[in-house]
Amino acid sequence: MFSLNEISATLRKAAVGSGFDVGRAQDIAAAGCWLISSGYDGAGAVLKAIEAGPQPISFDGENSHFQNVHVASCGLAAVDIVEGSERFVVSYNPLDVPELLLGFVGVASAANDNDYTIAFGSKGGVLLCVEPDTSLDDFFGDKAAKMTLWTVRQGVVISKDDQISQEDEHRMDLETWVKLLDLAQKTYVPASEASRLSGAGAGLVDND
Amino acid sequence: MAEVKHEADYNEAPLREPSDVMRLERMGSFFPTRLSFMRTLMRRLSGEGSKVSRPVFDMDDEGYGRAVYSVDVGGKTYSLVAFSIKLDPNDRTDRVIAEAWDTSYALYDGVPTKEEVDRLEANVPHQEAGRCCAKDLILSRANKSVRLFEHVVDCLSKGEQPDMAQIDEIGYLMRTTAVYGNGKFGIADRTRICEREGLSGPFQAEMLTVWLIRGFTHDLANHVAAKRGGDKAVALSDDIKRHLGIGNSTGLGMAPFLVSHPVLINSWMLVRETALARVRAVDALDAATSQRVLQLAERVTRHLDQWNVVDERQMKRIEVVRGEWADIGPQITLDALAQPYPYEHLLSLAKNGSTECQELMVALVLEPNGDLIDGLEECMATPYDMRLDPSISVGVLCAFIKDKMDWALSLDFEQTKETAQFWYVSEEKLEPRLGLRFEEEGAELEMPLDIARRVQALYRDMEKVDQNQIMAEFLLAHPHHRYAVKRAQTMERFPYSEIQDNLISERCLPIDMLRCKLSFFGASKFDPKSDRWTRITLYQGAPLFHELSTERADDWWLPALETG
Repeated sequence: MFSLNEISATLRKAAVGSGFDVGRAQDIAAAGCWLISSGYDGAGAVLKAIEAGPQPISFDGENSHFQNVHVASCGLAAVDIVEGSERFVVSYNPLDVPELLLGFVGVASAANDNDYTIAFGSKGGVLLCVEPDTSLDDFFGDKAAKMTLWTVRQGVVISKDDQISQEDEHRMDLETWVKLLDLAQKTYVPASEASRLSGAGAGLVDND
Repeated sequence: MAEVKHEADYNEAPLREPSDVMRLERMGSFFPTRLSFMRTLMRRLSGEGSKVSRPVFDMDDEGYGRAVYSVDVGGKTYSLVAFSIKLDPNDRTDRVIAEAWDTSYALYDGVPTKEEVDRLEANVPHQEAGRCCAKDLILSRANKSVRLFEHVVDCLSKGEQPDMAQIDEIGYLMRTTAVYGNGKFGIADRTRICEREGLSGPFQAEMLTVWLIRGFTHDLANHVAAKRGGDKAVALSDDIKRHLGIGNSTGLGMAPFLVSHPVLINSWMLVRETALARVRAVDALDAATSQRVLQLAERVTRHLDQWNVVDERQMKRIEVVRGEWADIGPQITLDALAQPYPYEHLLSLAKNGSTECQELMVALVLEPNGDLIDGLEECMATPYDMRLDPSISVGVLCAFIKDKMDWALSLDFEQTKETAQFWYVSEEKLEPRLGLRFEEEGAELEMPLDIARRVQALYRDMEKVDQNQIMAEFLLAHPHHRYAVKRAQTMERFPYSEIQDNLISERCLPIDMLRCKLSFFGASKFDPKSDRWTRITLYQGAPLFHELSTERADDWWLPALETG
């Protein structure tokens, strides 16, 4: 069993270890923890999303269209665009880890009280918006019945029965955890005798 | 029924500017105040009439075994579970890299059953290598001050009280080397207790743990002496016990906390500055308060006289303050305190002194003003955190940085002295360390404490783009600036959130950051052992377990032995 704080720290370090800058790594960790608190496999989602490292973000501003499929890189940007400009964003390609987008949205919604809707089309497209549009199906050429809709309000998924977990401890898949620790390990400086002696400025024995 | 005062009922002088307060030199000169976390906890326990019980004390003749202490806070019971083992002197190190300790502790949520104590005994003595659970709120360990512990036990066993000079010189029987909270190694997340009465303030659970540990160290010395001396043995006198606090060795691990919790630090600083602003607005003192100020000024003199350290830099600073106080002290008279705005007058006496002298006076003027400032500590915790606002335009953020973060823009990072150091986490037990960038390996893995450098880089890139772009658009092309944007936007909302100095320059002394944080804990007698770690004393002069209902419970600012 793990505390959320140690999971958060490990997710953040793992993201940095994968090459993400600390600003995004913090938000990726927060999204993972939001998913865990909401009953999802947030650690697994983060691991899958960060393993490829950061990818360039390709955004067509005129059409509000993300061409990326790597949610760790474009998901945060998508939520920023939606919150910052109050417009929708869309991707016509399937995201690599769509649940992490839900994590980003959950964190943002809890902080800014916006209601967000994520619509996953049956052919893989994703639309993210603040105000749900009645003609969502037009984006994907799907009928609404074939779409998966998520609505998040004040940090809580309200389109499903899920509620924020009140558990104090969280189980982790061991294999996932070990992989995350391996990535986190990349942020530590290898030990040396010199750093052992001088890096912390203290002696090695204290019998006074 | 007591009158409830609201914000508008208080007069306030202007707050000191963040550009004055949030400098390493000033932060490294802070003294504990009545708003420090240990003081607020003791006031709460005293107000609640809390009682400490000791349901388990199962120690052998040499003082090895287990003990449990329980206390009620805010209607809930918490228990310190303590373990004492025999430690090879070669293993006794205060550093994070240690793997064994004389004593180890957990603060348990409730009263543990024997099975729970067994579970804790299998894990707590191993600290980082053990595994705790959400019923365990705090994890800690402490090593003996071998010299003083043995002296005290030896004297008591012969029927004598220990030598006061040694008691005063060292000040503690044991020193903690870590007090872990908030989910470390499987213990409870702070969210478990953050809304509980009595533990909602910052570090209240940690401070409760340390106070209970202090009492345990007294009991342990008495126990070993009684077993060794038999009928001849005596118990420690209350006067000596009161002067025996808990030592603490604090290293670099504490410094990054001030940077990684900017909103929380803003709350601490803002409360402290608001308290000062209220006190500065007091226009007259009554006779009793004037007498109290005189008593406190005299205590300052004794405290400074009794504060001696080996560290040359700190000893010089103490000597400077002693000299300044020798001039200032005689000017603190009933006539001086009869002037309008007497606290402003006192602060003006220290205005031209050293920063340490100025901050000593700040702590002094806060002390007699509980009616004005107690309760502000409720604002020291915060539910907020850093957050990016993607709707802000580049132009607006540029203007803010230019206006309020000039301390970051004015630095020349091309000069090696401005980037001489780097903060890192060693793979060796994840010990935080500080390296020399141009001499040591590992700078590419440095921790993000280079806030000034990051903000400056952000500003330079923002200058090159359309000023009407919003942050969401700017970060599409500059995602690596996300952290710096958050920092700058956070400072805009929380003005005391940033240390306004370059934390990677050759000038940066981590000891200043340590002292700042430790002063908020309530630590005194800072005893730096280098520029990157210090020993301190916690709870020296604080009430003993049976003294919570006495006046002593809230009168132990700057502890000093009575002389003469």
